[in-house]
Amino acid sequence: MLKTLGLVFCGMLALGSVSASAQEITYPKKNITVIIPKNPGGGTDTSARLTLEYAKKYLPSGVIFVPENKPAGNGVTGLIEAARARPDGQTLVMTTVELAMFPHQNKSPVTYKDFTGLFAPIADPCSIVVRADSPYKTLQEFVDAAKKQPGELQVANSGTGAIYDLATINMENQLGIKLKHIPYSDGIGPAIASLVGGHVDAVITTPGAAKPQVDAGALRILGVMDSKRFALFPDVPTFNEALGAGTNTEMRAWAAFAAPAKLPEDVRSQLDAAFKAVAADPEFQEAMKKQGIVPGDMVGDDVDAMMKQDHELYGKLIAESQKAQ
Amino acid sequence: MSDLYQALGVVFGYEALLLTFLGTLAGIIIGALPGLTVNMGIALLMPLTFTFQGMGGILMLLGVYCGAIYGGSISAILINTPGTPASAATVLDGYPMALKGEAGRALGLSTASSMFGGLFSAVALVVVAPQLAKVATGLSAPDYFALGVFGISIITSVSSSSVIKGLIGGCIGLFIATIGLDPMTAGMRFTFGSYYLMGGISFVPILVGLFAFSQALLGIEENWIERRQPGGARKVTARISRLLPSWADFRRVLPTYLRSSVIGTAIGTIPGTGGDIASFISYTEAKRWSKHPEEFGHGSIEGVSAPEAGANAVAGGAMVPLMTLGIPGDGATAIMMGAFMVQGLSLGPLLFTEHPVEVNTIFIGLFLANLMMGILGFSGIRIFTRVMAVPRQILVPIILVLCAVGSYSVNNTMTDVFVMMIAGIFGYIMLKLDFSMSPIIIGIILGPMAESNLRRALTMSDGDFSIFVRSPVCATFLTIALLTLFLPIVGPRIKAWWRLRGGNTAGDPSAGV
Amino acid sequence: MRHYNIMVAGLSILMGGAIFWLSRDLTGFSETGVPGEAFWPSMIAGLFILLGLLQLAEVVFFPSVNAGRTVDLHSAPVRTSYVAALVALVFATIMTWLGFIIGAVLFIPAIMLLMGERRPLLIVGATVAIVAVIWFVFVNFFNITLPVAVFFE
Repeated sequence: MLKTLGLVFCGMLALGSVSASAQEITYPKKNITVIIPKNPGGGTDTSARLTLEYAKKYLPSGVIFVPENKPAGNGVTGLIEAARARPDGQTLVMTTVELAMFPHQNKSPVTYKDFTGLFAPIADPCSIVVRADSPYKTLQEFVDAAKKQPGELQVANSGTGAIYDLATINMENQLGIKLKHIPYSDGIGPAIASLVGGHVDAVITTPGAAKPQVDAGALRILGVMDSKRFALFPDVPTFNEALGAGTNTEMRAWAAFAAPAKLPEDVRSQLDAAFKAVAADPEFQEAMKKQGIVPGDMVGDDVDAMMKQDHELYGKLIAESQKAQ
Repeated sequence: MSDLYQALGVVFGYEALLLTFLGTLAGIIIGALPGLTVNMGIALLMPLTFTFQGMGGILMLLGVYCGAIYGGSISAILINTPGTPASAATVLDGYPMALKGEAGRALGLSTASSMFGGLFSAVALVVVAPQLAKVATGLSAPDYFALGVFGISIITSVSSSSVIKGLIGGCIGLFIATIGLDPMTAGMRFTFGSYYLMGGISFVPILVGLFAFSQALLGIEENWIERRQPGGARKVTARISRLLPSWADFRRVLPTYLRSSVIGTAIGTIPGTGGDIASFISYTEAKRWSKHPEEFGHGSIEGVSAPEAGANAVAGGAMVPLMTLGIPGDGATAIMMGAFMVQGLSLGPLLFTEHPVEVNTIFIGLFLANLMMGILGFSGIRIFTRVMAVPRQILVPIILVLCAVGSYSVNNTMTDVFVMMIAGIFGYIMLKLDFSMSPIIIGIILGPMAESNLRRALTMSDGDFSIFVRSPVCATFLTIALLTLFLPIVGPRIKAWWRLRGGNTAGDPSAGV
Repeated sequence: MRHYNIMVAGLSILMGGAIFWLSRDLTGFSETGVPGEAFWPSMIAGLFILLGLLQLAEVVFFPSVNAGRTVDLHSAPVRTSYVAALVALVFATIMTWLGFIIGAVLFIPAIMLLMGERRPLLIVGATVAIVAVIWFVFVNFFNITLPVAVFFE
């Protein structure tokens, strides 16, 4: 019943957008399975499904994307399954930045080498967020305070060894400061709640996650860890701008569609073309912005390059953090 | 005011009404099926909302949310199987009532209490959301730890026959929850190199196994005995004389409704806690303050009402931090957050000024969803109770297959199905040995919350344990926890001793512990 | 009941010991006194042992608590349940390789036969109806992919 209802609505939507032609995907003979190794309804899942919603018009008629959530084992089982699938474009997977971290933490037997990167709809930078009424008006003040009282400032993250924690470690290494890591393993939501309540001094997260509070004037973003400013908050400086040379890092929480490695060239070029068209679709960009995400435009080789670069970056960081313990 | 009229126009539009109705109906079905939980129901139907313009999709999700929490109580009462974790406490008194032939009365009470809890929390959301929001951010790690310990201390009140075995069960639950990545250091605990175990053993398959699968095995055993007794076929009739609870019942449970609704709303407001915890706490508090605590576990009407009112009151409570802060109050609202954002509603402090019409739409939609849930529930009672008339030879295979399918769909992996079956076989043997299942569930739900907040608090204080007595909230909860843990054990003995000494204090009404 | 209760006590103590042994490599307290990975499991292990001892004490010193209660783990009806559990495990295995439909079509009649149902029409009818309804509700209504046979892939 609901499905039919949904189909009617989809049909109405589709009528408005029958202009696609050059980006047609022609290879699939049956439905394309898209493994989402995250819980249904989470950020990764929502943006994956949203992207597919805009990509499906390039599929031949009678074929659809079938998203399957496989979050068991923190998503590693889903990644393994996708890596072992036949590389024929019938199985895609939504990888996340964890693919670049888990192999170094002994948590995943598969690495970026087992996948072909296709499209990264999200690549949001890490940022440091404090309360609006906190004494730290700029990143420089925060760093000075941290230098004065090493190990005293409490910085919340989403779990030890997760990206925001590694971003904290990276910050400590580059700036020569010592912070107190407070992991909130049940997600960044409780961490932000406790920052709003004044139980911690700062949170490392993506700017999008803190957007509601920042817009309302309850929280303030001090800086983003990227080479360019974040489009949704053009006033927030990058670390490099705020602190000067030597702090130029790109810590991005990305999620990227990928296929198993050794994808045939024609399949890959078809998928790349389709995803390129999605990335350029203004409706898609609008939908992502509503989620507090700056829509990514990395397609194909760019994604592969990012995966490789991050794999090496996190390999180094994790090795350092384990040495420190 | 015009915002309100506009919102009324949206909610009572033809399409929105239909979507709310369908959502509530789908929610009740999802809730009643073992294995399909509230969170899953919302996640399953969320992609549909991408295609709806405007608030229709969100109204549908509100319907699913309210309907699914309620739906869990139907299978809890009728087949001793909580449809969702939030109904695990409803089993304790719901099924005994059904066995007494009072399935209709139990369903009437649970439906009424679900509706009451839902509407109460909706009122709370409308009236005191900004004040409640302070609860959401006011609690720090030590307070969360104390809340977790308080929840765990309930174990002694829900252990049926042996308190020691109840506590052992609680330990089993606590241990199961430690398997997987360590919440603080992300090191591996008890994973034996398995990638499946790294993410921890999934909770829902364990719940389904312990309650539903073991219950089906019990059904097979009873079926064997009955077939060999002349005329011993199962005769549990569900006479339904009325659908709405009687006035006498209603007057008796009204204080329970109110208390549970307050508890549920508060628990819902606190991020990271949800209906499962609220229902157990509501149950214990109902028992603590009841004039007939001895009836609990044997079909108490307060016992069947309390968890449902508490669990359904979570809905409105969980919307408080979601709407005012942009931080979800429980797992279901965390998933809904995505749907809100797809529709361009930036949740948080600015929502009320930037989108007043949508805010009013959500308020009215929440009332409507709870009303529809009540109407669907009451009109469905006669149909639901037919389940009692289905012959065992058909009902048991259905339950077993549903268990497998439900567990599979949690993570789309067969491993969960095997986990469910093994949990079910263990549950069956443990039931034979006088263990109860609820303590295990409480241990799994609350163990991670207690542990990670204990360690988080000590990280903040550099290992100084005095952090737990410095916060008044924390100290209060820890005291209540101690009382809750020991009163059910020592309470009756003190009373007996008192009676022996005083002799004439027999009619002491205040000793209702 | 008595010897089962002693067994429960023993298993509880054993469980506690096992957890202690398994958490021997986990980190203990940090230098600042913050509890590490092993803290919580050790606490649980301690509780297991304590509760096991309490259970033992109850059996020895307060035999009246459980007087008259019996435990049945071997009788014919209970054994039927064990068989059903085994059949269910076989069903799960079949479902893994041959998919949900084949598994359920074999499983439902097996359980009904085990429960003494002998009318062939009822068995076939119920099986078809259950599989069809579940398939419709889960796959068509809720869009959940159920496992299909490997050779259909």
